[in-house]
Amino acid sequence: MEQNGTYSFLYTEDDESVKKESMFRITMKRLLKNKMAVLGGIILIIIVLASLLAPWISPYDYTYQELYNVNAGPSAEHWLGTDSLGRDILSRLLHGGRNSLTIGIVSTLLSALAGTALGATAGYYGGAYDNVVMRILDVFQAVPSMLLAIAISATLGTGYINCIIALTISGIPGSARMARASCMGVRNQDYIEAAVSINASEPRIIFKHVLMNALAPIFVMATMGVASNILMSASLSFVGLGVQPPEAEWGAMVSAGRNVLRYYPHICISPAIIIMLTVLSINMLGDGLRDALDPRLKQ
Amino acid sequence: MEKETKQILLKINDLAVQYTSGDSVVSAVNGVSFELEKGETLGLVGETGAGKTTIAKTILRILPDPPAKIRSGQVIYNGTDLLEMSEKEVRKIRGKKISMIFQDPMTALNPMFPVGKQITEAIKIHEPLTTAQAKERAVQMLELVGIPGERYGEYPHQFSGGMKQRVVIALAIACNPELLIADEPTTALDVTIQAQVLEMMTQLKEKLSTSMILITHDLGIVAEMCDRVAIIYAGEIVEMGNREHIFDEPVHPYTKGLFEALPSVNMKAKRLKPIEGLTPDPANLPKGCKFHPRCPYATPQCADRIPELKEITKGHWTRCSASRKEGV
Amino acid sequence: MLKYIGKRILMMIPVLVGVIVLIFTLMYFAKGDAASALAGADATAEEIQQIRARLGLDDGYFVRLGNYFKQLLLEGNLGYSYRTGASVSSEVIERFSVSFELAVFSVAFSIIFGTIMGIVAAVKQNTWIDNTAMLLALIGASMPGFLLGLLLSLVFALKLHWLPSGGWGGWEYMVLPVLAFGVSHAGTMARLTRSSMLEVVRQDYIVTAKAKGVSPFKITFVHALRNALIPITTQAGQMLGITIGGVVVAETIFSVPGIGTYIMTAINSRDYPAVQGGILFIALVFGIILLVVDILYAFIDPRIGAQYRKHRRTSKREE
Repeated sequence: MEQNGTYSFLYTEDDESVKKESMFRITMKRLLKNKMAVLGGIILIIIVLASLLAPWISPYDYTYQELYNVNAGPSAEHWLGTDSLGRDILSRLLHGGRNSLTIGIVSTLLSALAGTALGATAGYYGGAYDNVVMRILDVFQAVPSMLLAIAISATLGTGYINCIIALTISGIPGSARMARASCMGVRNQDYIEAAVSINASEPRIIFKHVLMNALAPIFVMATMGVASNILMSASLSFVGLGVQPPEAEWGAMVSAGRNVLRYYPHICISPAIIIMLTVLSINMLGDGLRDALDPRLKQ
Repeated sequence: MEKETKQILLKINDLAVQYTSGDSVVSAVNGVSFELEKGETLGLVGETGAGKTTIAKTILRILPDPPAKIRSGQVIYNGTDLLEMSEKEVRKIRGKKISMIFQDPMTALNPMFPVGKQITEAIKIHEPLTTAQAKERAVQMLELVGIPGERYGEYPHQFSGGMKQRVVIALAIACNPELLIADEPTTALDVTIQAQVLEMMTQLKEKLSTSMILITHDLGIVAEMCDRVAIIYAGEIVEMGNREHIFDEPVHPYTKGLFEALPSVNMKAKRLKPIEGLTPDPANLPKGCKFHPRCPYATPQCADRIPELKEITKGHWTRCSASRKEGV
Repeated sequence: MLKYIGKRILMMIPVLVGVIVLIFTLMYFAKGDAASALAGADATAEEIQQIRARLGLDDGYFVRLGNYFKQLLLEGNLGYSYRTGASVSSEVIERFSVSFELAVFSVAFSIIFGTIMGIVAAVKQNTWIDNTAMLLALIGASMPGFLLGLLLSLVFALKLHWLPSGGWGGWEYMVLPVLAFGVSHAGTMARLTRSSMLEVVRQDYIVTAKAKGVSPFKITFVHALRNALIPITTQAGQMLGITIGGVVVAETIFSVPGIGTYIMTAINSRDYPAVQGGILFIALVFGIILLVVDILYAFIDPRIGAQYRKHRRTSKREE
């Protein structure tokens, strides 16, 4: 339509700037314009920094039990109070962040990498290889991911590494499917045919064109994936399969406070709020990223 | 003027429309005025992005707002300004008095509903008919545009592009409108189908004696169908006149350029002469005459002064007659 | 259409076999010994050995896997719980009906609230209503069910005593879990509905409808919503699946005697036939839900429906 024609001038302008600036800078520019995304980013940076600096900024040793001072409410000495074993909740939150965030980020990265490799190759080469990969993924996807993570955790046992493995495996089918779909979508585009017609080598095509173009949705999904994996790891710990005390982990902290919820709700509430805040800020950032990477979605 | 009996159906005065997107403001239509007589066919000709569709959508008040904003102007239809009407009143006019044929038949029909039902819906909104009567009329309309009535219950995806455009036309004429706006009705169709659809539209127009605004960039279609023509460039009318004025004695450098860029069967050997440069970016229009950066007759003054639309012979208006002065 | 459904059901069989092998393998290699868990802390090595022999735990991987399939195919039986000795099939079905009720209500809640909120936000795009609705939806979508569950049970059960904090029985037991696990999905649904509606509203056929003189109400609820229904249905199906998969957590918080707590208890006591039966059953239901969603597509979108019928139609034309 002609009206689209009018808009196309806007895009022409954009296209010209693509040549001048890198895609990354444009995305950043768009992202920084989005107030929600910036707010999410700031909250997230604060949480990440606080967790990184935990050993230095924690007021107490996170495993130290002040046994004469259990279940204490917030006070000047213990800003967020102490838990049922007299451990300082703030210190445990800071240290717990290291575990929760690392689990979320590492497991998402690993499953995104493995999933993308599987999905991209399956989507590009197709045929029997695609068939075998997809049927295996079908089996993994037939079990809801939370349940799969629980089953894997039950097999491997509790603990930090096992939790990461469980979340990684249950995340692979989703990202593989996504990568496959993106690749198949990109593969049929005219510019791939153009690349083939000028004799570009196949691995080059798959890497440069297919992957680079499919990267945006995968990237957005991975961002959101960190949030959902943090939630999953918290849920795993909550049902007693994730990270175990005395190691601190947010979900485990919520779970530990559950038994005394009626009398000492503060033990549960502060890790609960932190989990929510983290997930919220990641989602805000992810929303912004999605819009920034896809100009069509901009209203 | 010539005939005292002529009746003005639609009169557009000094219409200006802008699109805002982020920080940039795009002036899509800049002070367009024209009249349309009853029974007449007016062609709006211009390149993609010149503002033709925006004018059409303004008449029906279906511009997406935001980003579009009508800055000024009047759209006087049968004596009342459509832009001043309430949304409810305009709804009674849309589809009943004025209706529109859209450019892309592939996307103009809702994929979820049978085509016949989409026509029946329009009839039921505007006519005091029962569902059965409305349905009967919808079947008649389909048959009028050459689609067998049995296909009433079929979905858009079951029709070819040309057939879909026939459905869109049937939808547009279902309530016997006084004014039909056809926005590039054949651009998306194959050449062979184009001829069929145009032929059919001409017949329908005569049969129903509707007035029509035909938007196109194809001068061939204009020559075949239009009584009068307005050439639009960068949101302005640069030249307007009856068909003979525009085709036999074009005056504005842009109009002349359009004809010189057109292949002709008679002059095989001659090379086509494209208009140099690109259509201006509507977000950043040139000062003065909007065509001057591409104009072979441009003088330094052209950059300072927006030329006015002047009547050079009766009914023939142009913003510039530089080409004539040089005796070309 | 029927042919298609039949084909899909047939295609589920190898997947389910795969699930059996997967879960069986996981359970086979699981840490912890079923026999010692069953025998109790002060059982002698001999007693444990007896239990091992009785349960066939000493057999190798393939023998046990084969036995499991034999039992499943010949007797249509998921085996017997190590812990209670009861038939896993009947226990799973009984427990599942509780979970399913919970999941269906929770998803229904999220669909109703989510779509309404999303539609309102889309219609009032960029107004304060839209902004508030979307902020609420974002917070909701970021709220993990178990947190909301704990907060709700703290306020409404433990402090105000309006509702029971756990257990199962009448509607009052359902309110908190349904809310706890419906809110986050309602948020997701609201966001999805809004963006789908906005996408649809931009389409040409909406302009056509407007140009016909259709009222804004009808444009939103008939012309646009019908087109936005496809992503909404997909999401609803996924939500039902996720909710059924996530019942473990929900039921743990509210002590609901559903399949989630069943699987959790079984995992903790190394009651592998129960774990396996429970997960297999959930995978089966999950597959059926996805199939139902696919069938729904055909009813919503005539283009998809046509694909299913294509075969029949072409053969008809040839006649």
